[in-house]
Amino acid sequence: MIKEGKIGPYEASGLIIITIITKVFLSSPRALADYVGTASWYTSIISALTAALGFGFIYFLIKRFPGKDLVHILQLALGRLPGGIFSLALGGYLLFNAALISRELIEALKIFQYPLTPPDFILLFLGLGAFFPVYLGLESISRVAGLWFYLIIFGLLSLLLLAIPLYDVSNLFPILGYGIKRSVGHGIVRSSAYGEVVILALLINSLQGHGHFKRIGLYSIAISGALISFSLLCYTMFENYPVLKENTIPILSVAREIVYGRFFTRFEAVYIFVWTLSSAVAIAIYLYSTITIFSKVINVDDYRPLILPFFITYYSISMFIPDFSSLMLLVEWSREYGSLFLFGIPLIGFIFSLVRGIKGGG
Amino acid sequence: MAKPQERLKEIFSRISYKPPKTDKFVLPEKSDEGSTKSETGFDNKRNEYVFDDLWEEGFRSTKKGGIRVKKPVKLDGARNEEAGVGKVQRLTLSSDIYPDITINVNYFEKLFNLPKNQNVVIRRFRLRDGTGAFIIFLEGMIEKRLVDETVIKPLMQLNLALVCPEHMDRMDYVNENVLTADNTKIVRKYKDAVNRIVNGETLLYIDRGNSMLAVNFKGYQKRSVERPVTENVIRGSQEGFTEDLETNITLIRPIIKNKDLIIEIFTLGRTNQGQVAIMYLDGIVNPAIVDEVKRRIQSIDVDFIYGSGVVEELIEDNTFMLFPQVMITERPDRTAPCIMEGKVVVLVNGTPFVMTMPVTFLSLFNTSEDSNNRWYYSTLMRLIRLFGFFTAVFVPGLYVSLVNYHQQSIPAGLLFSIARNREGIPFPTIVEVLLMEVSFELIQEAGIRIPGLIGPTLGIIGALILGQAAVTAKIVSPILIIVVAITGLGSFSISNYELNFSARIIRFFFIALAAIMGFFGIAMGIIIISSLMVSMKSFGVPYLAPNWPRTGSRKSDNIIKKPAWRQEERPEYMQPMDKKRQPDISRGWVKGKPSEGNRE
Repeated sequence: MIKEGKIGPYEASGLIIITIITKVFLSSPRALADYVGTASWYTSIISALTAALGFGFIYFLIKRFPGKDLVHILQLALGRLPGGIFSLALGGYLLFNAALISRELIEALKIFQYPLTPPDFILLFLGLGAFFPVYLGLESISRVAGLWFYLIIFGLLSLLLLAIPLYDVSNLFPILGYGIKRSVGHGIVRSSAYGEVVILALLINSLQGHGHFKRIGLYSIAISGALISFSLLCYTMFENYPVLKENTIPILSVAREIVYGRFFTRFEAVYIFVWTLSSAVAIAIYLYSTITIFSKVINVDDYRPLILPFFITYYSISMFIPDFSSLMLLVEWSREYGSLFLFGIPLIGFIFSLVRGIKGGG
Repeated sequence: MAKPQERLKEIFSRISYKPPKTDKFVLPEKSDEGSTKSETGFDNKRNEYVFDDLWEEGFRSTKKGGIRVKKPVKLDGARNEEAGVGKVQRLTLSSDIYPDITINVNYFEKLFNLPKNQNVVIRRFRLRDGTGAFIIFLEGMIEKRLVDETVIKPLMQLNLALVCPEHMDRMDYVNENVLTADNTKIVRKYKDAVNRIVNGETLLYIDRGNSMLAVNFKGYQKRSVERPVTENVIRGSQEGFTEDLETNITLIRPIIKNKDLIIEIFTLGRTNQGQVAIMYLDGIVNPAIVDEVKRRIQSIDVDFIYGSGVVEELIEDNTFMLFPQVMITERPDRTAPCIMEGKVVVLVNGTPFVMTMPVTFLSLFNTSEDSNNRWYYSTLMRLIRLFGFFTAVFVPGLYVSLVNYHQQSIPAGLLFSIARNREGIPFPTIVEVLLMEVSFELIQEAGIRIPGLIGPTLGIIGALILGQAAVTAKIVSPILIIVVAITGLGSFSISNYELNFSARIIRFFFIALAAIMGFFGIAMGIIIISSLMVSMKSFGVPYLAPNWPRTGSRKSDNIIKKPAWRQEERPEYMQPMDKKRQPDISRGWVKGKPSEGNRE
């Protein structure tokens, strides 16, 4: 049994919210604008609602097996081998996501800040930043998230609010974007944007009960949904819709345009701090979840010896992506099919537990 | 003028071989080359005294009616072990006190290396009935006048054989009926006797007894209570701790006049027998914390304890963390509130700094003045100190990042100004920054080491002249001087001396990260440092409590100081036995009414 410690509702919510909203700092707003045009801000709300529904199934599954985390539940519901395989598939997806986010961040940093620095060197730094919290454990990751949560939220909101003079409400129209059907469809498919809430099911034993689990999950989806939707709303008002899909890192573009007098200009510095802090926290929890899933599946009590091999794997996957356009394709694949891993696997577990009538300790 | 022969002789003597001098001092290469065992039967290493029980006076002791008396024995030099005479005896520090004055005097003389050690005094005298006695003490550590008046004088007039009842131990009788000293203790082992002697007590022995009486007449020279040097305040007490443990305890006692204020004293250091005291308020402190502090202190097995720094390193949770895990203070009025919060205080003899534990990061920004000032002054000051810490840690790193990597983030006017000023500087920014930072550290260190009033003057003059000269010589840019000066000010605003050191070291870490990767490097450094900080614990309490993790009650003190009447509870992370500091309405007058005729 891995000693994961206890984390409070504030730290757990902060952790999940940061992990979810990290995507808004990267290329996701551009991709969404590409799919649904000016309707991205409420498409995201549809995604959040879909994710809340998916989380409901996860909650019922967790409730059926008190004191068990998702990996053990899957093994109980599906059998040891199939449950292990499904758990590893979930872990693999989280690892893949960590690699994608890292590469996205690195490419953006390379484009905007460090054009001469080799990407593998930037990744090494990022990996080093994520390594420490992973090594120190879940308590450390969650407290780091709790520590920087307000700063990250404050940084994001201040950037969006300082850019108010740049917004044009008329850019929100046509309000239905490319059509309601397309918006709703993409909203449902892209619910994976909020799928990190499944991580709570892996950490259930540290959350001090099911009541906390439900509350933390729903609050996290609601708060991150509001933040993402507000960010997308601001971004939509910032540019007219043909230009929306041109910016590689949309929120960075907003930050660069802020001008207040001669002195207060270009708030990229704030953006870089907020961006990298949230990415490092997200990568740390992705990797921690992956490593602990693997440890639980193979019944290893201490996950620490596995950190280095998993970091090497993560590093390799991240560097394996040849270029930025391939990265964008993979990111889109991840957003569209991510729900199958994040919500689909727990749903399979739930259905099997119902059909087989398994509950409790098995 | 010297003759040619003499000159030649001189030249030959200089170029000719001379055998090396052989009368130089050398230490034996092996420790067992010189035997430590003396011929007298005393083993220095083990403090063991081996002797034959053939008493010089020709007496041996037997027990009769509860007291020991001497009986004559044959002094033919032959052993008679059956009669208990001539049996080989071994005395060690853990032995019971031997009932013979000559053996005891001999043993103490050997133990304290007399007559070589001239600091130890053994004063032999006789009681009125002829019974031998001696007192032993360290010269300069006691009040001799008091010893003369309250110990030697009454004893020399005492006919002990006549007045002491048969059923009563003679030392007990002396203690209860003869001596007028107020602080006495009977000891029965050599170990205890020696401990008390080296701590400045006077030990009395009366022949044929198997105990000694320790009389506390400590009277050695010590520094008087003065103003604290490292923690100055404007509004607050002006008393600071001294090097003397007892004085320090008496400085805290008057602030907390409570019967439950417990002081436990431990002896640490095998060779120097240093004294360490722990202090806590029973009924408020969590006993688990006290047990843990005691467990750590009692388990220490080192040769030499001097100063709180050594004890701090020996008991803190993680020695390799940069941040202090106990709070060091030299102010009694800073220590007493910590005790009242349920913390444990450790005092070490020989140092004017005491340690309080557990400690949290944010509590290191509090000062004793905070309690004396109104809540919003104190809050502002705390925030300024916190800002000072961040300034001290981050400003040079941010400067390096901006100048090296993120020029686009600098507003145009400032960017041109920096560029103009850096024109002609031969060094890259990182060398420039390191040059000035190291110079600043040198000035700071030199200012402390130079004696008297020259120190601070040198600091100011050195900084001014060096800075001005460096700018004029175009070695560094004027903006960098401002950066270093702001960093220095931030560093000095940190109220905790040890945290100041942490900030100074971490600053160089962030300068290095900034030089390598700019803002991104700093952000990664923040993640690394913060993950280490959140995983730290001080005696079981998370270092960033009460905020990360959230353990704090809203009714206790945090970053923002609450008014005195709103601080109803003690910090929750301390898990005190008595959580309530005061009732919810501590200002009783708000419930009452002013007297008739004085109402609006």
